[in-house]
Amino acid sequence: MGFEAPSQLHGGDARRVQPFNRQADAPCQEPIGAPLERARLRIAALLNDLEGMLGEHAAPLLREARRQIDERACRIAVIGQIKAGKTTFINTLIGQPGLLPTDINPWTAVVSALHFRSGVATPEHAAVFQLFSIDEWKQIAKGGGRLRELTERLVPGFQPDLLRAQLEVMRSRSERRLGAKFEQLLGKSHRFKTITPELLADYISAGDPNLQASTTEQRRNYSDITRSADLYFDDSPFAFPITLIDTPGTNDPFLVRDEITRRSLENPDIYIFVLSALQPLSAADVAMIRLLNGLYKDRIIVFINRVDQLANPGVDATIVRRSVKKRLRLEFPNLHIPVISGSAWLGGLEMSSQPASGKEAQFSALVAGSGSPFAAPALATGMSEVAAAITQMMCNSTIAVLLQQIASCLLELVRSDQAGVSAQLQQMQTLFEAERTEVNALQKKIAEEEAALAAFEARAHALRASFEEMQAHFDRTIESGQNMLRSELRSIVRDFAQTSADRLAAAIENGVSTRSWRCNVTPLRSDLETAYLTAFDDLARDVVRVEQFLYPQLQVIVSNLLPGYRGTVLEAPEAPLAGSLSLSALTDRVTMDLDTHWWTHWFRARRSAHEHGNQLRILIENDFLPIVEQLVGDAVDSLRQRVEYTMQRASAIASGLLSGVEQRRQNVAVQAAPLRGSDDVQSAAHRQGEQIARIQKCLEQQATLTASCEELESILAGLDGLQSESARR
Amino acid sequence: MSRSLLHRSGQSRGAELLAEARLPTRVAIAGEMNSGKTWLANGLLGSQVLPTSFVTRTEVPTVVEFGAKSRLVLERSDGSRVAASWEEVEAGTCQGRRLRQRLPSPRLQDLRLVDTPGLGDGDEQMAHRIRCICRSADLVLWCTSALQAWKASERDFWLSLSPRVRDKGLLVVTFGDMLRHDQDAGRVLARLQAEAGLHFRKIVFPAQLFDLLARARLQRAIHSAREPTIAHSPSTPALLSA
Repeated sequence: MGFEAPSQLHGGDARRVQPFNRQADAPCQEPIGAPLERARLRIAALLNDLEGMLGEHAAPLLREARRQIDERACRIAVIGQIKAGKTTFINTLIGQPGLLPTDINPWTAVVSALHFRSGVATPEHAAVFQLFSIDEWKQIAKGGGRLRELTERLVPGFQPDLLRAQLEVMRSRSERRLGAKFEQLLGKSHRFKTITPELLADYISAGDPNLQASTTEQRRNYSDITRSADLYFDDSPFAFPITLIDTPGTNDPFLVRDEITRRSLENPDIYIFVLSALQPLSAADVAMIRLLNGLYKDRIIVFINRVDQLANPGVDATIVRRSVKKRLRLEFPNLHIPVISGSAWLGGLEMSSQPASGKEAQFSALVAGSGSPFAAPALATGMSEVAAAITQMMCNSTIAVLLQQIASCLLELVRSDQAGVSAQLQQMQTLFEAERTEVNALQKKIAEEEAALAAFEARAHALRASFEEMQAHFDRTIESGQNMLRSELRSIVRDFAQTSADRLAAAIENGVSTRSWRCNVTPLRSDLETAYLTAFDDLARDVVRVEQFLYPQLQVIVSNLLPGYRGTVLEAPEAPLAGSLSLSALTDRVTMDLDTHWWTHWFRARRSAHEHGNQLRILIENDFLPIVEQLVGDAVDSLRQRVEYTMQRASAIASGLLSGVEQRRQNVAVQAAPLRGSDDVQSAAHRQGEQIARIQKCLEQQATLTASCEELESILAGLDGLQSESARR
Repeated sequence: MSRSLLHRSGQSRGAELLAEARLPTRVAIAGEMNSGKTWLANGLLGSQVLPTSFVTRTEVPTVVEFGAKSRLVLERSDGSRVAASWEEVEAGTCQGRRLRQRLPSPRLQDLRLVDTPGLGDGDEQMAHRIRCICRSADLVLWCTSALQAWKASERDFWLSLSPRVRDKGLLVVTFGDMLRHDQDAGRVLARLQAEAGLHFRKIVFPAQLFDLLARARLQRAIHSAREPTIAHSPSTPALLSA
């Protein structure tokens, strides 16, 4: 079989490599996420110091901060259509060409997460594969999941042959590969201490569809029944903890895999959208980016892969990049999406130590920049630009915001402790002086101090009570906002459903052909998105308004308690609310997304225009009202999280103040001992020594707290700088 | 080559057959963008007639047919026709219903090609037009790139055609020469056979197609004395056997 076309059609060797201009190679750069990692390590070191120093009241917050600092990794999802080179891209990005199996056919069948130094400790197992549970498998094997549900909704009783055939193939293949009793494997998770290429091939490669009969020597392929894979690596090529998520491509004719991928797109910090230079930005790609749009604005990097396959990589890559940029600007005018072109495959060759052969040798020479027939300079693989773009995006991601939140929360704790300690110092000084003068004066002072403390405590308790009131306020605000949000979104869905139904009925009555008719729900999705975001902003503003109303009152109380207190906790924190909001519900596949094929069946089934219209209205409502519910739920969750965080901070401060009061009360008790007449010279000396020790301890504490304060302020300034720097670029 | 190339051979009445026998085989070339459609068209024509530019994609359907003189005509949406040049087309200034390229090529005496714009940019109207073009063709060549073969979007479009139209379809696997390993071609073919085989007459690489056409022509020349329908010539069973 010859696949070479007549050679004159090539335009000579045009589609092969020609000399091209050197693209400026980025200078030797830091590993990915280095600036954030520095901030993270500084916070971690500080946490160690603070854990011993801050009182019991701070423990839950410190624990939470510690957990986040240790465990939170930056999640980077690599997505794109089938055969765009996602897996090759990951292999090159992590500097291990050939680690994840790749193939000429769609090969990645399982969503796999690669964890790089993201846990507290390296888990015992390097690879964990979770197989589908029996229920999940049954759902897939019998129903085909969501797609089946959608087609059933559209054309009840209609059996989509294609899906049925695919599911049967999947089932029988599993039986062939794993034996008739393969169902016994379901629900299990398989763990391994080391990662080997064979292992990955067994669990995450689609496997050769035509491979017949598994003999004992042949390895078993579990990919059809594997739900997810987690791989843990000791050595990380990145500075910051990173979890890379490799996905099977979208636009896969194997429907089941397409479903799995869509489900895995839940809220990563960064999306890397891999395109093939040969088919850059098709309608399917744009649709995908549209789904990711909305709040994920600053989270998308587009990588145009496989430029090595262009006729003239040097020139064409620039043209493709420009046209992709233009198209993106047109489709998403408000979005800034970095677009980078290159070749992950070449990047892999560059680092591969294996001797290359054939075409690979040709390219290797090219990459090396020597020995090429054209004496061409090195081709930029785009990988270092991608690395730089990731680092830059991380500095502006939810991760950076999280570090900022942790740092400013710690700063609050430190400041309130600082205030407590200086109040203690002041008190001890006063008492000390009074003791030195005369008993009466001391008595008076102690009485004053006790009265002050009692008042202080009453106020602190009042403060706590007002927190409860604040919480109730928040609850009411969220509750009423939630109802408004729901009714607004529902009315958008209903209006759209009605309009579409009327339009369809009118079209049928006017005899318009329904052959290629489709109900386009993109406007509905974007209307929902806009209304959702606007309404959420309003709701968030309401919450902030509650905060702004209540905080000044608290401010008065606290400044009475601690005149020297200069924290900011009592100003509404400015954590960006929208950052944690999820729009993933909007990406749910609905009946309307089915292609013309299914709709043809639908039109065949019913007669009257009115009936068609009515049916369409019901379909749209059935599909979108649950999505509205999901969106409302997500909004409420996000607001509650914010409120919880605010309250947690506030109550940690309050507890800190109360424990300060406790300290001072003990001091008073010690000082009051001579007044009770049980004081002799020896115990007086002992007491004084004790007091001096206490004062010294307080002074030390104050010094450390001040140092921590400065460190935290400098970390925060650094994070601010990173953000504004990447925003400027 | 006559219109009866792929089917109908037995059913047509004599007069119709005679009328049809004078018409060249209508070949529609369709596929997603950058799947090598124009490249394939040039291959079938045996020369670089149509510009294959990576950047300016084919925007309107291009009909290539026999003409005494070589000329390019743009048919506007209102039905009017004007002379055009490929430079204008590449510059993107040509808007209209279709381009008509006439050529005095002997190959076009039995062949009329329609090169269609790439699918996959979400243009439903264009998709509808391409469906119409496929419907009225005698042979539909669906181009799929060996490097990214057979996506769901391709399958969806192909299945939206009626079985009658699909029955005229060949799946042409382009860019096979860019595969990195020799065994890859066979593997891609195996997958296509499994996933798309049922929906096409046959799956071929361009070279096979060129080969078949050349042989068919040869056969026709040899058998021209006898009743020469390609459908019965020894070379076509390979093309037709599904």
